[in-house]
Amino acid sequence: MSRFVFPIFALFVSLYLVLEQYFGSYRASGSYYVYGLAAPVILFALTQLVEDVVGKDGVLRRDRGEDAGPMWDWNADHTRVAIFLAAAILCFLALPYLGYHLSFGLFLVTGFWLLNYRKPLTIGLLVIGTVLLIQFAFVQWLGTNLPKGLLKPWL
Amino acid sequence: MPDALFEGFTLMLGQVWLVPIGVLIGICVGAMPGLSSSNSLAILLPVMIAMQPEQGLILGVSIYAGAEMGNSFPAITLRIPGTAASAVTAIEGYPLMKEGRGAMALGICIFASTVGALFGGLASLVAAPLIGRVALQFSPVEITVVILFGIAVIAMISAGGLRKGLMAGFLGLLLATVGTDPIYGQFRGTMGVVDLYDGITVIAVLVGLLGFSEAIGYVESLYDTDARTEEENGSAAVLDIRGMLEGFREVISRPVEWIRSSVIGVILGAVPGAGASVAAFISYQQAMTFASEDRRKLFGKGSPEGLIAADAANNAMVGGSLVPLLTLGIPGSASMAVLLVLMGYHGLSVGPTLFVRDGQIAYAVLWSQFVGAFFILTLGTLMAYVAYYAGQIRVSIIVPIISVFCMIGGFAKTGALFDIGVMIFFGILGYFMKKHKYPTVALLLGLILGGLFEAGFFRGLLMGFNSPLIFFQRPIAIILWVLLFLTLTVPPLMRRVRRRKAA
Repeated sequence: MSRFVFPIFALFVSLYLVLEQYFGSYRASGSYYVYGLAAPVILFALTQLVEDVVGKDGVLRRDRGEDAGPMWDWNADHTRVAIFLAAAILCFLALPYLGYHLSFGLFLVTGFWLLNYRKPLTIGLLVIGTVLLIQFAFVQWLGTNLPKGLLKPWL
Repeated sequence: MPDALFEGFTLMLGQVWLVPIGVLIGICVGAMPGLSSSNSLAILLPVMIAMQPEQGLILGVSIYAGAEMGNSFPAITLRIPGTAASAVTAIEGYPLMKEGRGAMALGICIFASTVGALFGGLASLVAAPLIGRVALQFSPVEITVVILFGIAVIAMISAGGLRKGLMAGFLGLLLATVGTDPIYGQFRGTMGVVDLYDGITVIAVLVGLLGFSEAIGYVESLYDTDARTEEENGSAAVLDIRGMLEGFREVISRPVEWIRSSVIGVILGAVPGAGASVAAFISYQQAMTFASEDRRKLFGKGSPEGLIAADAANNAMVGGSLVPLLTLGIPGSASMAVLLVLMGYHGLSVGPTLFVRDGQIAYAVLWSQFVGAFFILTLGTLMAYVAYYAGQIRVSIIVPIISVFCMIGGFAKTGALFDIGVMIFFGILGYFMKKHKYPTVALLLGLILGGLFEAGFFRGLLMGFNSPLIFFQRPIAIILWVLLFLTLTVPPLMRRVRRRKAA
């Protein structure tokens, strides 16, 4: 099913931009530029979707076969990817509140655990090393203004 | 031109200290599983942006060159091709390692990479200004067609086929329209999100598509070097200097092989989308074709000619890929796309006017390749042991750390947390794109060049008094359209003819 993600995204972006230009408050000649770019994207995305559904290796044909599995195959790999992505999104959302030290630290621990690296001492050293590298290289040297969150009063 | 050539040389001499640093970083990241030149360049982009333009570009090109060779180290010693380009190196280098001739294989790889880098540097130094002078004749009309041409070529070469490539390329151009309309000042595709008023941050997209998506891929495959047996890993003890010198001699004694491979590397480097893997495989295939009957039998079992072909082409490709980047503003590969973004951030004139306005910077970058070649030879020889151990670092350690650096990379330039979200979103999108063979480089190319394309398109229309026919009337534009047409139609026709003949 993951094969539909990109064509659906392409279709969504192009239709959104076309409809926005068409129904928007202004319809300048520049709209035609957007239409011109969106037209091939819509065409390619639709034909790709059709092929992905009914084509030679399409979902429908494949699932009619004897070895057809469930459409959503939630095996271990996908679960691991889903947890990793959830951890990344949570890290991003928690960044302004927890600050980069804690958010990145927690994300790193989750990442190591998820990838079956479970040596507490090495993990601790890696987390501290990475956070210190970020602190010195990015925050102090490059002046990146990463949020400090909870630790702000002490930093 | 000669003034800029010499000014570029002196400018490069002032920044020459960056070359060994770049090559060293490149060798290390190239040797580490999970890191390639493009994703490490994307992660290091904030660092390069903080530098002077010439410093950032010299560092970037040096990292790229170092990584192209560094990739070969784990391919030879551990049979881990970090990228598709080093797959040939693994095919020919690992059997030599198993035979106890690993040092010779590394010597071949280092020296072939050095001569390839020198050849690529020389070719780009000669070709880039010449092509740049021709490109100066380009009006907005030609620039618009050139961008379309670049996207079409990348789409044509992409593994997933033309449709997927064109879809990604045009979507990139469309995504570049998000933000404020440059002509009418209206918001487009922002969905009311204030952070999108200035458009989608290219760095965040770039880091997501090139860096974070790779990390997700590794999480899925759970590929790990730790699962390898000691026998598979070979022994570092066989990596002695005498063996490496033997490898150097092997390359010196086969000039035809490395010259042919370097030429292939330069030419394919200059073709947008072809990249190192295509260069390495075609060069390898050519080496096999021209080898004598008894030498051909060695291919796949540890052939020095095969190794020379792959590594010389790999590194000559770096010089070749600088030509379209510096003369036309078209990046031939993902790594070059990073350098294009870097040039854009430093306000360098991207496209044909680069050699006129910022000629000394362009020449400094081209000159730095020669110094880079010297350091590939020296640092490569010194780093062989380190790279052997770097190749054994567990992917499970590298991937979470890369992911954190990707988040910072997405954030560093703008300082907007929203861009970390953009990075994660495009990382996920890039993961699905790679999984289903949509070329991420085509999307990136469209997004990066979208602004230039739109400006060129509207200026072209103004030139033609609002008639789109102007795009088909100017001689250079007509030639480009013909080339574009031939690029899109000839290869499928040839395939069909070949299939019919085979049937």
